[in-house]
Amino acid sequence: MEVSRKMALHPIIFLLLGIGSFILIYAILALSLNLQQGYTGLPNFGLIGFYGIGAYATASIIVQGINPIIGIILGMLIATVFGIAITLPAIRIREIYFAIITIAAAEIIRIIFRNEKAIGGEYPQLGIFNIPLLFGLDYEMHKIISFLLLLLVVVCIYLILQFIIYSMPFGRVLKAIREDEDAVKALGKDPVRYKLIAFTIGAIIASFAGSMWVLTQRGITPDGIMPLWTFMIWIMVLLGGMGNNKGVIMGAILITGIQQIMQELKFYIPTEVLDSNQIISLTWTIIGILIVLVIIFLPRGVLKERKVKGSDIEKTIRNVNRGIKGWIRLLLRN
Amino acid sequence: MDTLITKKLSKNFGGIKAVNEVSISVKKKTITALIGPNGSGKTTLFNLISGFYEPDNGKVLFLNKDITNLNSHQIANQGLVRTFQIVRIFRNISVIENMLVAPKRDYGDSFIKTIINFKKSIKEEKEAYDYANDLLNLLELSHLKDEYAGNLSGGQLKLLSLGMALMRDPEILLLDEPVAGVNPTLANKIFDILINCRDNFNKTFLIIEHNMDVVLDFSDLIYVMNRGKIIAEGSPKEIFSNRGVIDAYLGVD
Repeated sequence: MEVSRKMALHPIIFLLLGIGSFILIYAILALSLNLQQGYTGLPNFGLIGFYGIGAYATASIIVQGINPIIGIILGMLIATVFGIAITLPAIRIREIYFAIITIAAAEIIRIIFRNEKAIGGEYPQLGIFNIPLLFGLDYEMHKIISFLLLLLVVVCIYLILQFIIYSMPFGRVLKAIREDEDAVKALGKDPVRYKLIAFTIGAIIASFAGSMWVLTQRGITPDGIMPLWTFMIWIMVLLGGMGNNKGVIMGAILITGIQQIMQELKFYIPTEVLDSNQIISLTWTIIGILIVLVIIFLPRGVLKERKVKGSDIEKTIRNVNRGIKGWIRLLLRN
Repeated sequence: MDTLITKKLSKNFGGIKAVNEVSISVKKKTITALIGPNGSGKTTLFNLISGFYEPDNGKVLFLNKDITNLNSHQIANQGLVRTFQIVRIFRNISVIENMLVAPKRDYGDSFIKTIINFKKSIKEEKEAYDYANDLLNLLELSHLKDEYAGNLSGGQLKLLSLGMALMRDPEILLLDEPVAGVNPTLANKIFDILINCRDNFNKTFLIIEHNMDVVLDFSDLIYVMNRGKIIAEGSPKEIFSNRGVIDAYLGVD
């Protein structure tokens, strides 16, 4: 009792930690979509399905009383298999059809989770909840640790993706595939292989985001994997800047921030002025206006894709040959 | 020795015989030109050879190996590289990155191998980077290397796509109108580069070109196509005294 009173957080900080955790989860998803759509040109409209796989795998494993790490890995494995299963036939076709196939796949996943008692328990439409607090901590510590854990995850994923795209020749080919697939073929690279790897990495990251959601928010419902959320992530990527990982994190901060703050406002605005439905509508109006403004004034998003110059390539080469110090510089400079 | 041989290669689009039993052979260390009026099937022939179209009939032999049923990227990996008539480059990345997409890499081409041997892949990158800079110098593009490729002029794009093809160090290069839209001085320079590659690096070229001056000056052998068929072959001198060719291509006086 004594300890928990000492730990008592200021309510505002408590609120901000909650909002921050939401933002960070969406940042992971936005980074995943940015790898697929922003760099490789694979319009994945089923992103939330892969997130759902990770979330449900982790939640059902935890409910069974098994170590959540196994759930996270299981989710990633299923997401990989599922990702390859849809992309292998779909990856050869044109972008628009690829988008349709991915959205259908995500809906199939959602409907299975909504109806399958073996996964969702006695009432699958309600989802899985009552996931225990992280490491058996109390409620407040759980909030703090969740936030820090997510922050660490986002930083790691950001650094890994930046490394793949800006320090590996692999990333350069991904950008080339986005620009012109036939030209890549004529240069002896197999676009299917590259797209498959990029899509799978994205799927694994999305699945991991789902696992982290379950661990930190302690539950998942079928409504949490509606197509709507895929579109939200698309908005973040479009606003922040396609092909810029910093930009899409900013997009996640902006959109999720607006949504969460508007939800909080519900408690402060009298219902005679605005009721909760009107606040939701107002949120969408604000986001809609933002999209229009960005498309008119910043068609490439808030942050543009970084141009890789000759000097950047020279720096990469130099840093790798400088040992550990160079490596740190390489990772940070990306 | 013949580097590239096609045997009765055919392709129909609906009722049109775009390429009709075309048999050509390209000798090593030569510049072979393919000429003919618009719509005569030259580019279709290129697409058949490079694996972008599947032939209805016939065979393609490259260095005595049958490559008829290989994918386009597999063919490019064997050392047969082609460029496109309407240049296909990567518009929203810089010129130097365009060049560095091209080379064949032992480590960098594989995701896993790059991670395991990152230092070696960086060594490869350095070699590729130096080579790319040399080529850009040769093609007079080095001042544009940090520019977005999409901002280059039409002629510069032609040069860039030639540079990307040369980055792969191919055995044979199929060039679709390499000097269309390039000023005459630079066109001559491009062909000087090709001749240098032929003489000093044993490279072979098959070229579609409408610019008769350069074809006449620089090619070793000419094939003339009309309506999907080869109607003549021979040295530049023979071709330009051939009545049929003049009728089909250069027009009747």
